[in-house]
Amino acid sequence: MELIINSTIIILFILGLYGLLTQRNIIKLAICFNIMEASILIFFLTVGYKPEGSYPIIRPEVDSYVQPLPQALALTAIVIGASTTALMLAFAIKLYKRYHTLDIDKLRRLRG
Amino acid sequence: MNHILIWLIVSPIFLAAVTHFIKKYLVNFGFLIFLSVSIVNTCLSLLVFLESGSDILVYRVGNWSIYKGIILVADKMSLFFLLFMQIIFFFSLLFSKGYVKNDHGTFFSLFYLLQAGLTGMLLTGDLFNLYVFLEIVSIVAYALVAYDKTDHGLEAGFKYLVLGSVASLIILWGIGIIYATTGNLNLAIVAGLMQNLTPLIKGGVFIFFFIGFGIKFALFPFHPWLADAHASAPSPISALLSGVMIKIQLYSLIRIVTVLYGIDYIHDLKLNIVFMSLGVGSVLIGHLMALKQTNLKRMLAYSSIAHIGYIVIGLGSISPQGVVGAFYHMLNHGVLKIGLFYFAGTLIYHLNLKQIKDLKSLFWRNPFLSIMFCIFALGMIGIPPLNGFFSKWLIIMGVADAGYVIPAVIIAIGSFLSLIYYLRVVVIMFEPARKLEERFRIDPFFAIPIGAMVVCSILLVVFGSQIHLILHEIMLFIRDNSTYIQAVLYS
Repeated sequence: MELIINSTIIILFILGLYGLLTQRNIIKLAICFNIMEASILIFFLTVGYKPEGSYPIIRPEVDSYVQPLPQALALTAIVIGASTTALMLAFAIKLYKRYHTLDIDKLRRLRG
Repeated sequence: MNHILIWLIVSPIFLAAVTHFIKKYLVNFGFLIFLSVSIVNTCLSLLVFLESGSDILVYRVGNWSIYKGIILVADKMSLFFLLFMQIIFFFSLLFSKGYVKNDHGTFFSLFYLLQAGLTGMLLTGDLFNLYVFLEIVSIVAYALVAYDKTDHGLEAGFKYLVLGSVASLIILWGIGIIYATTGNLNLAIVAGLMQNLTPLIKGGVFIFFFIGFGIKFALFPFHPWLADAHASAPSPISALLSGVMIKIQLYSLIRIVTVLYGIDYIHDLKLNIVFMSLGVGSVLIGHLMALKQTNLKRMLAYSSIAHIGYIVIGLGSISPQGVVGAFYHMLNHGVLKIGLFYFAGTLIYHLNLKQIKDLKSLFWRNPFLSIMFCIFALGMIGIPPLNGFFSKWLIIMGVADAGYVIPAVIIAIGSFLSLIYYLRVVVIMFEPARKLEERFRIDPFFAIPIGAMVVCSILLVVFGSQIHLILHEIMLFIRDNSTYIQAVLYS
């Protein structure tokens, strides 16, 4: 089980990175960034996970809980990721209005 | 006393939130509020710096124990950088006031978020908070680079955004691995648990942090975004990014590496050789690319890459002189490069000059500005009475003493290359004018910050020995991480 999760994390991360390096469409770049981020969020969730653990609200009849802190960290990371994605899409809108294309190869003006 | 630390983070965030509502009054009355808050914050940083002496202040937010809550830690190193940062932000505020023509509300909102994020990065004692503040700084920086909404700005901003967000994810992954293996995020507590980790995890996390922060401060193989971003941003922002932001990101890496790993780890694995070779790469690529630039701000941006290289070489030598020189060079390069970007910004604002060849006979049109440029340029090259020389000299001596001859030679070659490209600008500037061109006056909002940077660079030389003493103390402090760990654990 652990092996499957770990390999999922690594495959998702590499997939996202590969997409960022090869894709030319701005929207696809934003999606690839989100795939990378998803892999790290899965990693955060696996850190605090226990197979028999209950949700982290203290009750007398339960003695094993999943750790709440990684979930809180993952939430913060989601918020930050959302704002980064929002900024990327805002850039996409501005660039599209100016150049009428989403292909980053066609808007390369900065060289050397 | 300790509450000052949280005030320094909260007050800019509050101003950032409020600017939108007072933007009607920003031109006169609102700006006075900004100015007074900036002065108060600078004075408070100075007060904390002087009062704290050699002890380490630990502020537990909400009075939770350090095992549960968030802490802010202020030691000699972070307070010193904090004071430097506050002074620079004060003058940037003046310069931005003159430079930004429309939509003051958005600009100053982002400006203050940048200030809050950088203060937080300096003061935080917690890995995840460091990540949050780093992201505040980065997201604001991406937006500010594209603030003018020019073609170049948008493209450079997008490039920076993609690279920077990948770097943030790599850093976040490193932090996640640290939490998974040690079960804590507080730097001091994690540092105590680091020896339980297997060498593989320890090394892997180090690589994650190194690559992540390396992209953020534009170390050699990861540098391409910097020249575009810093050249396309509005000039007050270029100055802040080049002068303060990349240095504070480098500071964060120094803080993590020295507290979590300690100098011995670097020394045993010979990682300093890696630092130095990347630093040498930065110096060469930065100076060589700067040589062939025709755009003034782009040339300055490439020179920033080279100077980050000097600093990394100095830190990589791990000799006392080299490290002190590297810290001293951070301040010197910050002040001088900010002055140069202000100069470029003034020309863009008044005459819309961007290319180097347009600067022809500038001296006859505005002697003040040209002489200021010469002082900054000579300082950057490292001509003896100016501050750039002393820090470069310390770095070269430190590196050579530690037995690394090649980096020392490369620094000397780098200075020579920078002499060529700065001198080219100076020669163009002093070319005799064919016909008498009309003079132009510069706005006091531009003249004061530029003059202040010259005064700062002179003060950095005049008080050189005192600053050297402080930096020596900082060097001893980061050499031995047990001081930091014990101060936090027994707070």
